[in-house]
Amino acid sequence: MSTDPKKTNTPDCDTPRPRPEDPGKRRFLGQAAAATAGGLACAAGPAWGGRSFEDALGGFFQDHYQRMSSDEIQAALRRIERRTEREYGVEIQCEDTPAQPGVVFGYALNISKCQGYRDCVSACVRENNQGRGSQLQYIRVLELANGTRDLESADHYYDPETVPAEGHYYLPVQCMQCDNPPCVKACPVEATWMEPDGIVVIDYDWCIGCRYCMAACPYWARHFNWTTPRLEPGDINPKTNYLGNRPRPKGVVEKCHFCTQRTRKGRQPACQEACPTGARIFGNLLDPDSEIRYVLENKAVFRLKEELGTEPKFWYFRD
Amino acid sequence: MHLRGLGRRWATTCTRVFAVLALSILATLQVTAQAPDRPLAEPVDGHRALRDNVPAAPSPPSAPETFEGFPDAPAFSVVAREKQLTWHPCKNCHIALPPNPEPRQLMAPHAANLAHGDGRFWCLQCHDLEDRNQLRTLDGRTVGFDDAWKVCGQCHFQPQKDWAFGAHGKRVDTGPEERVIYNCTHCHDPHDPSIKPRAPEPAPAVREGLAPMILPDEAHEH
Repeated sequence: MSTDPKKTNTPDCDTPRPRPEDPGKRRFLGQAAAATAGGLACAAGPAWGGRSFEDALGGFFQDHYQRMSSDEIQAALRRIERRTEREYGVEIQCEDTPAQPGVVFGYALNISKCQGYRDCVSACVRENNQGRGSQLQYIRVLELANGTRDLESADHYYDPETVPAEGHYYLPVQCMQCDNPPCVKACPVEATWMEPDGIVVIDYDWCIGCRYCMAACPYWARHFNWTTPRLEPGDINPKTNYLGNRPRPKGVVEKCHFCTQRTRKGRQPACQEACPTGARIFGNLLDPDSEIRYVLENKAVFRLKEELGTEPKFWYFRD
Repeated sequence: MHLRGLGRRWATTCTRVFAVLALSILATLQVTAQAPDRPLAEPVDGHRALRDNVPAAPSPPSAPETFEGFPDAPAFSVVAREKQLTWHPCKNCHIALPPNPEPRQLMAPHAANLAHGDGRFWCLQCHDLEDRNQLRTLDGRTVGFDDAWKVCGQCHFQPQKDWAFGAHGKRVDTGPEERVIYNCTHCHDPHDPSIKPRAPEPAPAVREGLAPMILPDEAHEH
């Protein structure tokens, strides 16, 4: 694992970055704005896009996730919950679950078990509140002809009556959570970074939608919200995380985040839980007794585009 | 003439010098060979000398070792299988039926055909004849349906090992501390174990508001 903080923008594993408490200029402006908000409460209404004046100002002055104090994070979480209720009519719980100490997540996928059912894809869409009409899916299940590994000719729009199709195998591709992530280097506003548990996350409120990270990613793992995500009230998963599956606005980039809302609480990612074949193996790379460590030590594993030096934490293997 | 004689003498001298040198080298080698640094019987760098490697005396016959699981594997429990079986306990019917080991066509609710093993197996390879509620291993021990993995692993030992260590099979979402895994028979029908093809989830759709997608092979036709 890379530990160079300059390279990966990552604090040390066991010492989470302390929340700043000294008010900066932006924070001072935000507080001043919030103080005046009470006096202007009468202005709440359609003028602020349905938001209260306080929410509008608070959202405008919201700082970068890593610079917010605990109170500011809590205020931001409550704003997200109010916004979701206003826009979708659903009460959600938005949390900020920090990375667990001593954990670096990794993924292994058995391509001889994957049958191309796409159960992982639909489970991911449901879990992560992805817009239903926006063609935005974190996982692409590539269909390849046996004996080839040409990703350029792979097809993820396959739709036969039954899978696996004769003479083909399936290679699901999602964010590889690179340890040397090129997308992080490309972001001009540092809206994306690698967390201490190895997950590359995005602050959707800080993203300016320039899509440089999408161009930098060699795995097609990042996706852009061209439209406001269309979510029916029944579609929304109410258990959300700030750096995870909270409903995203239009015009920001998003990607697989190893289900931070689940995995940081010790659960499996939704794709692993949904996979009926058991092809997906997820775990802590630092735990020598974990299943993923057994796979890495005993199976012939490979990674995609390894020669690029991005150090993906996503391995493939065969029986 | 004079020059030629000189050359011949020079050649003779060289030959003699070479001969003496060669003899002395040979003698040195012989001396080294005759006086080894250490006796051969001593182990060299942890290896036993070959001539000492006599086969050990045969140990008296003991009871064969029975498989007790993988002690190095991280602890796990298996999802109970018995209560998921429709007809278990089998003795509900078999209490009244005399045991009949003869291979024959069975009637419902038994599996209509036994695809496992391509016709080489009969029920009693895995099921116990006397105690119908139990399975049976090849060394004659009875095993409950919850421990069916012990029966499967007698032949499929490599998948069994991968399963115990976590590289095969499916784990229940119970958190990192408690490891609960599904039994072999949960996914593989033991009477017809291969996984059958099924319909996939729908393919990714075109984003709302865009024209239908033209696949590359269709585009060539236009």
